[in-house]
Amino acid sequence: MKNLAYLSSLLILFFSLVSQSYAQDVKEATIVLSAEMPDISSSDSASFAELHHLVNQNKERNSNTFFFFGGASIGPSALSNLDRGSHIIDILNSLEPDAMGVAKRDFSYFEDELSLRSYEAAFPIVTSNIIDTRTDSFLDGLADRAMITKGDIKLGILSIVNERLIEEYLLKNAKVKDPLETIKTKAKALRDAGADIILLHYISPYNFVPQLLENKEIDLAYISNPRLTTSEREEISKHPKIMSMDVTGTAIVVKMAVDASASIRSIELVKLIDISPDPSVQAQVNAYKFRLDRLLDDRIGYWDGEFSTLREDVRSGQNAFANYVVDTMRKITDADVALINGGSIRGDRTYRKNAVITRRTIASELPFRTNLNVISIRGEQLLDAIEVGLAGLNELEGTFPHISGMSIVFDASNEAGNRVVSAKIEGKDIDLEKEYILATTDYLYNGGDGYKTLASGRQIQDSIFLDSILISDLVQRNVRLQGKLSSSIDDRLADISASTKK
Amino acid sequence: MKVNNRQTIRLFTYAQFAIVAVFSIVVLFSTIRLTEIGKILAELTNETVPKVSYAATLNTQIQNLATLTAVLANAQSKPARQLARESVQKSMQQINDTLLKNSTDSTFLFTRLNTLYKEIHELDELVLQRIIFQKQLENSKSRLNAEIQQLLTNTREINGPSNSESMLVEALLLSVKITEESRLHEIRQIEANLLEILERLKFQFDASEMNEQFNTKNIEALLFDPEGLINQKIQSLRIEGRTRGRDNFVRNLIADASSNLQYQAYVVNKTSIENARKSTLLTQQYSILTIAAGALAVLLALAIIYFLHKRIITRLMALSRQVRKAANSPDARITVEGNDEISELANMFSIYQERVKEQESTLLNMTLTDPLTGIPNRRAFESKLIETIDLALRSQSDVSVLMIDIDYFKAYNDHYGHSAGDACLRLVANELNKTLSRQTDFCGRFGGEEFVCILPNTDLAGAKAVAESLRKAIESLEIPHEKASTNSFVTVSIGAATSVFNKNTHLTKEILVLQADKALYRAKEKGRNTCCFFE
Repeated sequence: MKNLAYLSSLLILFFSLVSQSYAQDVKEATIVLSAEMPDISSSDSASFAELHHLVNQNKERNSNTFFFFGGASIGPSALSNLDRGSHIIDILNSLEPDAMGVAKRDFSYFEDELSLRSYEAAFPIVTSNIIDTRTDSFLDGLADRAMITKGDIKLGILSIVNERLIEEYLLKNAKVKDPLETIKTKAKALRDAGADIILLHYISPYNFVPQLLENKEIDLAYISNPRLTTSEREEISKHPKIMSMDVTGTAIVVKMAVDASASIRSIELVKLIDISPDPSVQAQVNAYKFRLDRLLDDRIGYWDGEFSTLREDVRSGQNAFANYVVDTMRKITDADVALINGGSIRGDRTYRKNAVITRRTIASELPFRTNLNVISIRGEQLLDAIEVGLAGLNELEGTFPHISGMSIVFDASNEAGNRVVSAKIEGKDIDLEKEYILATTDYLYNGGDGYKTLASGRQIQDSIFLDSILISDLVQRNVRLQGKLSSSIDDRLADISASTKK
Repeated sequence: MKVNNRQTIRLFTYAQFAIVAVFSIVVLFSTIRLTEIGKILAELTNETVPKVSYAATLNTQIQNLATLTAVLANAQSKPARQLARESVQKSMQQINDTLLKNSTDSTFLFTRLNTLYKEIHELDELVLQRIIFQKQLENSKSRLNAEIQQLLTNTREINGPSNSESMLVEALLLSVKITEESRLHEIRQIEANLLEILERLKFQFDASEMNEQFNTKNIEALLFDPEGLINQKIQSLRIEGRTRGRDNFVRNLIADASSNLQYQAYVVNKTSIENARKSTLLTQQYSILTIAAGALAVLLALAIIYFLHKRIITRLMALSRQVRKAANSPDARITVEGNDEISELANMFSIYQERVKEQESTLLNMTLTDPLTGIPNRRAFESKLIETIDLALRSQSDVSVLMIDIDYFKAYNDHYGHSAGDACLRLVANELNKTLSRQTDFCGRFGGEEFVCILPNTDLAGAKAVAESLRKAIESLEIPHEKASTNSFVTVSIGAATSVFNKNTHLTKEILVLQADKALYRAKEKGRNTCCFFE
């Protein structure tokens, strides 16, 4: 063991000598990459103070240190539910990223709110392939690319979002341009403007990225997506110039040569928890936590039973909390049926019986600012919507339909789109021709998560009074009124394939 | 109508009570329902309407607060901020007043608004900070400019180191650029450039050995110190971002509070609409019920009245009719069906009528019968004679009248006494009556010891035969009479007169009786116990 340690230290010494001598000839740029810190109260992911310290350390060591933040932090979270991510921008202003990329989640509060954030930011927010359909130009305040100069090194930055963004986040005024084409054009523009290194930031894996790197159209790729599958990760790890942030709460420190080769000299994956936090940023974060407590920590009730909002639980089948949400929606609107998708519920945790419920609990569980919507819809479309919801069952896509006022028997082993075995409303088989009153979210009504058939529904007059009420406020109100949250699993959703397996 | 109950009068009383009760119930019922509706309406006016209008007022005030907050957030100078702040505070005060007036409202809104006030307060602090920083930034910029310009002047005057002038100009330009930049990385880049320029300047100044006049320390301090231009700019950018963020946040909070209010108003509205609907429904139901109850009561009352009419009035009227009829015609019968007070009354009337009839006939008998002999008296004879003559006139038949007198009756009376005389009279009357064989024949006591017979439809011959049979009958009674001069028994003398009655007959009963009397007189003259005829 001793020998091995000795040998390794010798090796490190050797490499550092080599690299230093090398560095004398060729300039070296340090790039610090991180992303996805939406929830400042979560110590696992949000480590802004630690990240700031890490960046400063690197800046001290090398003045040519660039810091790029991959976004995915503006939402959703309990505090963002209130301030639409302003606090994240404020904290980032202290961290001084050279630029921030944009991920799907940054559109949690829609494109205009992101524009507003960009005016609060003292750094460019980059999203390269989104166009505002109203102006046919880039989103107001956002940059389609960034060129950061440190000393005499110029770093060009591109950030790409997936086309699915529009559908998933229901952006009404934005369209996503073709990633590859955008990258090629903008990378060239950056190169022409004198970029020494071009960094591409993206979320969904693209198989054209290695080729772009090989062609030296870009010099470094950064995929900030902790939810990649193992196979996707394996595929990505094959290329040395693709940096992947696989786990939240980490940062990647890349050192690369600023020359034609743009070769990687070192990659360091840093667990931010191991870094000592920067006191001033920590103070700032704490102030926000305090503020969040002030905003959200009033007790509104308690859990009347054991509850789980784990991702797989709310996305794969009937769930007691989800039942509570839909029952509340139905009760307040007097609708025949209420429907939400499993993806609306984001707490991803369990609750013990009698645990306290605060506003924060509900705000964390329902962090999106989705509003209540009441529509009148034909039985046929309603049934189609349920099919759409059940289609994403196996992939845990978050489309899972949580319902109230309806009982569905389905067969998960059937192919998607053909899973409903029976559907009853008020004990009677659903009448395909009849109009039913459905309470749902504006997200689903606008066709979110593929629920496009709901758009055929007609908004009810009453709904105009209600369409400004957030589902989370509705649930909070109900819990406050009842002093507790009681709900259970019943026979509203039954999978016959599960029972036959048993 | 069958009436088996014996309690019609009591029933009548009960029925009256029933009608009163039915109407009382209807009135009570209607009153209760009306009170309920009144209560709902009162609730609507006293609670719901103020609640809805309260929510609307509060909402307007909160919206107003949003506008004022935006003004505050954008205030560019201390006086502007002060003014904006005052209006915000006034607005918050108004909201508080509105809330306090409606203490019934949940603490929920209070908590939210308290949070909002804290946020606005912090926003105000940020605005102040921003204004101060901007001011400081301006100061630093001026001081820096003055410093650089001083150096430039010095360089020109004293003919300072070569290039220093252009470097100073560059530094001046960069420092101006700093204040205009909005991106941190640009500022950092400028900072790096400035550092480099100043480094070079310092080097040159040091080389020129004119450290006294030319030194970059002040400029460096003005630029790079923690209180220097660059840091101030960075701080300023951060605070500006934070202020914007806070402003947006506060407005979101306001929007949330407002939407919660709207929601609350919606719920109240919904409840009130529901209540109004319910009360309308109740009103309808109650109206129908009241009308139904009223109609039922009227029907019931009518039924009771009909029943009473049938049972009491009709029967009483029938009774009265029967009684009136019975008063006029003695044969009319009084009957009212049933077994109650009225039928009893009818029965009593009936019994009374019977009794009156009996008494009447008794009375009549008493006036037409001779009390001593029990045969008709003279009045009866006279009326019988008129009747018989009337009949004879119609049938143009004969009527014979026999006058019969007991011979020596005074002597009999004197000899045998009055009571024996009375007994004799009774025997004679009885025998005369018995002897008249025809039903239509009449025998009465004419007075004293005189009797009279009317023989309708009897001619002279018939009358002779009857008279003779009567005389013989009395004679054969053989009532001893010692004082009779012609015989030792009681005998009678008979005078008869017969008349044919037709249109030409002008005879009257008086003449007929007179004729018979004359004949009797002759019979007496002829020696008694004989029959004489008026011819």
